[in-house]
Amino acid sequence: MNSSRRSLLHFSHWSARVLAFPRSAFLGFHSLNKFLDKFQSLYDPRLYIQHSFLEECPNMIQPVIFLMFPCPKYRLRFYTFIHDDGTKSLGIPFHLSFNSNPPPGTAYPFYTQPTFRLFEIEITSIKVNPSKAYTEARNLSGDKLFLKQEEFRLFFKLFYIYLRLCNFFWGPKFGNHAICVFHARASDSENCLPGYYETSNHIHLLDYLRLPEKDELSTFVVRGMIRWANLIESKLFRKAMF
Amino acid sequence: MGKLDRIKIIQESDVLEVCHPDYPTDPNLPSYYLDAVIFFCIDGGILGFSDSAVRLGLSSFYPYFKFPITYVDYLAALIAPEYRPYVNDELTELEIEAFFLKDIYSSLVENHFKANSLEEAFTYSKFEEAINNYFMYMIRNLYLRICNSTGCSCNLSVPGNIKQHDPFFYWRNSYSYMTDESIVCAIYIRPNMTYKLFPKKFIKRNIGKFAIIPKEELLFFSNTDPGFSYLLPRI
Repeated sequence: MNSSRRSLLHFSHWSARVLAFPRSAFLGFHSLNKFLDKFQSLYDPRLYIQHSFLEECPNMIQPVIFLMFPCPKYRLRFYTFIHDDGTKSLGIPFHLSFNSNPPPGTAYPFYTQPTFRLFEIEITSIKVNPSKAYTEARNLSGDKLFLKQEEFRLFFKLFYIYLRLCNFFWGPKFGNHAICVFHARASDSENCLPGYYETSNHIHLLDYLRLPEKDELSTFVVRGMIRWANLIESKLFRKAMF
Repeated sequence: MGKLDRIKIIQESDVLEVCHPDYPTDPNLPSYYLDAVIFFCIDGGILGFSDSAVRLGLSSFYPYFKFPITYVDYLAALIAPEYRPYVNDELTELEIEAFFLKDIYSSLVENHFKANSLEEAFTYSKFEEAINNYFMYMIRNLYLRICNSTGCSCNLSVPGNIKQHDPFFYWRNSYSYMTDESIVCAIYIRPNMTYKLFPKKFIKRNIGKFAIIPKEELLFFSNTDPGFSYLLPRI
């Protein structure tokens, strides 16, 4: 099984219905607004389509929240999940569900205002239900996680959700997943992740990229999530300064 | 490793460092090359160029421009932030040959700088400032070259004064990402500036030399080309 397929399986149940927008509507603010005019709210079940169908459909864009858990002590280090096959991930991907008891692999978002004026909507928190690949994962110390349904508050005020929130497009087959990266708060993370405050359970982004068993989605997130150019220094500059 | 080689960036513990061309580095450390990417965005997509419009001979079609950065490019960008090679709006044969910063490096050093100031410039360089200069030079150069090949009327004050008009242009319109081998610094020209450089009517009249690539099509390539994948949410 190749790594892209593995990433996909970490997501949600094939039968789950997840949020998706037509490609033509999703890529522009006005077109998205116009498309959403036909619906009652962002919880309108008609906006949610069976996941197995969407994976074969390049014309539908699926917003995915990739939830990461930053190390409380050190910058650029993140809590790391080890799956049964040895693959390591730096976060958990969730499709979005309209069900307040989200099925595995999905999250239920709480909006400040689920009816429309897109630019006024914020996601305040998400209730998540990790897929089996994550509930059975271990941390770097080898402890089993036993993740269950959790709620995470999010940091961001959103301009117009999903479209601007998205960090990049990716997908195991087509680039039809709009990946939105969020960092969970430490106060929410400490309750559900064993050894969260131990630095040894977090990996530095640069070290993650050198690992042989990386998850493809995590790799894509890490490669584009920070302004790498800003981290580069002249070697002689460092020697001169220190 | 010489000055004409591609810049090598090594990862030493948690830090990324530009290797000095004259100093040896541990070959076992993880290393990356450095690339620069330039996108010209238009309403609803990006503008691509045929090779007949650019005459670089690197590819038949350019949805964006990607160049490896060498030490000489970097040093020239460091020491010549305000260097303007063109006095007229027309390219001479020599200037067509001297497309990259490395091509003007020797004349820069000979005419403007003492040798020891190079070491000093490299030692105390701020990496992103050099990359900013590099992009300003390359945008202006690409623009001139395209005007020269397509017959587009050239207004050098647009690319020549980007920094004066908008000191934060680079910071607001650039991002970087990694690939297996490289760290890529990317800059995207927003539609209003692209149209100042290449007017809409001119693009339509010369559609054989330009190509309009809609966002929806870029999405299809986003899985194979991370450049598009990271660009799409920004435009």
